[in-house]
Amino acid sequence: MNQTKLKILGHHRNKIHEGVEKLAEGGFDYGGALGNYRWTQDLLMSTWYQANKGKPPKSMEYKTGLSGGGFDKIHFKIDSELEYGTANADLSISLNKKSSGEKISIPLPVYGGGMSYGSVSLQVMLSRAMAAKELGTFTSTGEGGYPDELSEYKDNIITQVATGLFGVKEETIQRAKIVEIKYAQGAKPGLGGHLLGDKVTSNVAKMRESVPWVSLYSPFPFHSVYSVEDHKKHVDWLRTVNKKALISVKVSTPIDVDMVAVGSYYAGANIIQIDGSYGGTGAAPEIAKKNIAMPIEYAIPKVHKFLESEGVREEITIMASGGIRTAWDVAKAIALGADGCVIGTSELVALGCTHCGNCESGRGCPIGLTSTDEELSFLVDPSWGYKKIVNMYRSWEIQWKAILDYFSMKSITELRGRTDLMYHEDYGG
Amino acid sequence: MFKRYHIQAKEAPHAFKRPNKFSVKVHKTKFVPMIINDLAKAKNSSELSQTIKSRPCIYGVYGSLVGGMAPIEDKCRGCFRCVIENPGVVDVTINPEFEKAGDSYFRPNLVATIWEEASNGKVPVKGAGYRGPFAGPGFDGMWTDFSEIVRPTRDGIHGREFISTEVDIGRKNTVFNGRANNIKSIQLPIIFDTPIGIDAKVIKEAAKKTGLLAVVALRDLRGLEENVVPRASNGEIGKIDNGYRIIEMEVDSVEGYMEAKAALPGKIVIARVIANGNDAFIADLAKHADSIHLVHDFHGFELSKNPRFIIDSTIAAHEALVDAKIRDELSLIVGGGIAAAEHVPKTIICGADIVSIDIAALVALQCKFNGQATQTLPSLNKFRAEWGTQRLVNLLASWYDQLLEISGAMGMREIRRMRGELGRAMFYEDLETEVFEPIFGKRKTAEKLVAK
Repeated sequence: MNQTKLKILGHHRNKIHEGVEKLAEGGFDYGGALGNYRWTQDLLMSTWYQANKGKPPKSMEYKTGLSGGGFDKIHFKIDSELEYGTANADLSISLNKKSSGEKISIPLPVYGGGMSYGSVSLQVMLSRAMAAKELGTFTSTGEGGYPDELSEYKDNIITQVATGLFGVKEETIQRAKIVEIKYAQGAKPGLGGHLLGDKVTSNVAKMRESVPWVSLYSPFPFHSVYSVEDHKKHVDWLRTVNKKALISVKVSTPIDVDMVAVGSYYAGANIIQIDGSYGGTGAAPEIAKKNIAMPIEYAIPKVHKFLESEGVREEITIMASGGIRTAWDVAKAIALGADGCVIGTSELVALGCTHCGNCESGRGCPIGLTSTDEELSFLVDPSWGYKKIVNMYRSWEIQWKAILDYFSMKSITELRGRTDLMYHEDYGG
Repeated sequence: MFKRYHIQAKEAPHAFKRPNKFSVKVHKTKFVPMIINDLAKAKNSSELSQTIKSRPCIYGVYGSLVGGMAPIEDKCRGCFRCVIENPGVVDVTINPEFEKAGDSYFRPNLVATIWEEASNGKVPVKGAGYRGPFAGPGFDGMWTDFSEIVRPTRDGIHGREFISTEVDIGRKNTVFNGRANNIKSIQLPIIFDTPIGIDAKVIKEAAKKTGLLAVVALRDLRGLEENVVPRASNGEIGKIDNGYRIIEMEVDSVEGYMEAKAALPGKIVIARVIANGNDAFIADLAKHADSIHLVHDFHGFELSKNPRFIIDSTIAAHEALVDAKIRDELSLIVGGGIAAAEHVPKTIICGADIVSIDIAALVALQCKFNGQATQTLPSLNKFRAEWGTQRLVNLLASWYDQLLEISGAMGMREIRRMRGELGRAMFYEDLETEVFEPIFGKRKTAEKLVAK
């Protein structure tokens, strides 16, 4: 790009950065055009606010959306205003509960979910990786390879191995502290992945060893896995390549999600990530997003209780994902039985995402988040973006600590499974 | 030679302008100073030119020569980039004209989706996650299962390339008795149920092009026509062309059906029954009928004092046939309220072999709603027959692909196996009871979610 072009794009980039900050101050109403039932205008703007200020806003609804169910109807039994910023508590969780293998803890109960190179830009991946390093947590490559630019952050990056094996190399598996096997994704369970041709730029194609501008399908499922025994072989294969790595298994939420979880335990996984049906994606058939698999709010207690009844709950970490939007969603997921959560969309919202759903078409996201277009990608500056993500999580930390303090807890691990601390608007009459 | 079933989609753009979902308003008094300020920053003619050409929209809303002075709001996709770049200068809101489409059941988004499917025959794909309510009435309180590892087949990319969607209409022998089955196979579990009073020309043509069937009232037919199932009352039997192999008879008693069956020897006689909650009648009728077409109102409700939604009435009818031990002997066609691709597999999971579509076809043809279309029809604009046929073919192509998506995810190799597989569906009420009641206590209000 020539200098004039760069200057003009820089002008747009600055306006986007400033605009997100201005909108986050509130006072704007777009009559339902901005946001939706799950990500309301208030949730979007309050996330932008938190990404700017590193603390929760005073005037917006930043805890729940308006979906009329699940987390939006579940609340903690808190009958007074929480005091933010004064409490202290241990927010760390362990990602390896087994007696063997490297002990890895993260200082906050979340890490970043898989977003592939191709579905998002390198700039977004860098923003997320830099944020993960700053926070001491992880972010996942998704299925699309491991760009060299990320190797500086290798201690905070999870390598994903998914069905298309795009960009998967022994070298990148060996580089990672955690290797994630993706069996299914909540937004399109049972359907595999799809990267539309417009987003398969030369660089993306090179990384994925494919042909530029030709759509890519990641098949479903692994054609080498027919059973839980095959799944175990899969885990063993990864452990052979990288003996030290923790293994995370990402599945979605079928009727028998509890059985799937225990199968993954049997296969030797350290982490089971259950990805609910309302999770994010770069592109998915609308019919899949709405209709296939169960929302995460049902899956967490099912899995938690079943693993407890099998006597193996303390040997595996449950990470919930798929529709976790706020600090409060995370806390509720933990109280329902998860150890922690995997966050995707919220990180993009922190970078200015409006949840408009135009990620998949043409050049991709108009503000360069889910885009590989050279000009659009330029609209995200990693040195700006990582601060936004860090700030959002700093705000979330303040809220988690306040919740724990209210319940006189010293550690977030004490909150796990404490459903007695919550009520549902429709129950208990 | 083997020939794979395929529906050929072709662009059939909207003949009548579709109100865009979003309205764009640029506040000129703020816009003009802003643009002057932006232009003033340009240091040379090249920068000035680039600044003028560079607009905060990649979809072309500001693509006209005068840009923000005359936004082309039909191109707006609600991304809000222009608003983010210029807060207070640009407003994007929901277009009230968009909200007027449809009725309380065929909601604006459903109408927009059908129009899109009918225009290009593709599966609607979007980015980001699901944006709707957690659950809702009727079909929106039902999720389908999927399998982490089981596939219809390991061939092809996802295995769905080999899924059979073939179904049969007619009566089958479940034990060998030397008699041939009197059945007609169709390649997709969808038929058209043409509302009376509609010019059925394009519907019949679409059925022909896709190898499916269109049920059309006898009075709207001129002699023998291909891929058509005449719908008649017992009084009209004498007027039915003998060339028709399948005939749908409007019946309200077993005797009435038996009379029609006797008068139509060798034919596949479908009993058209108004859904009214009489499951015992369905079970009785099923002992004799070749097939039953259970018809609800256009919003999917029974026509009775306490109407059940199509989900519940289909489950009841299916279970009545299972209890009578004759479920595999005849095909159950269910219609009324099928308004989206997802309704097809969901109705089949509830127990239907085949679904019939009515108003959805009219919506694809860009009909206009004049209030609630529960039993009365929305009005249709005039259109070219070729265009109308392609719109319906496209709709079927899109729904076919979406049926394959759901079936593939479930690991179903045949659509026949999906029928009545309630164990592969999850219902809002059931999940709430199973998961939340042990945690949060009794539900305050136990009323069922129904579509109204």
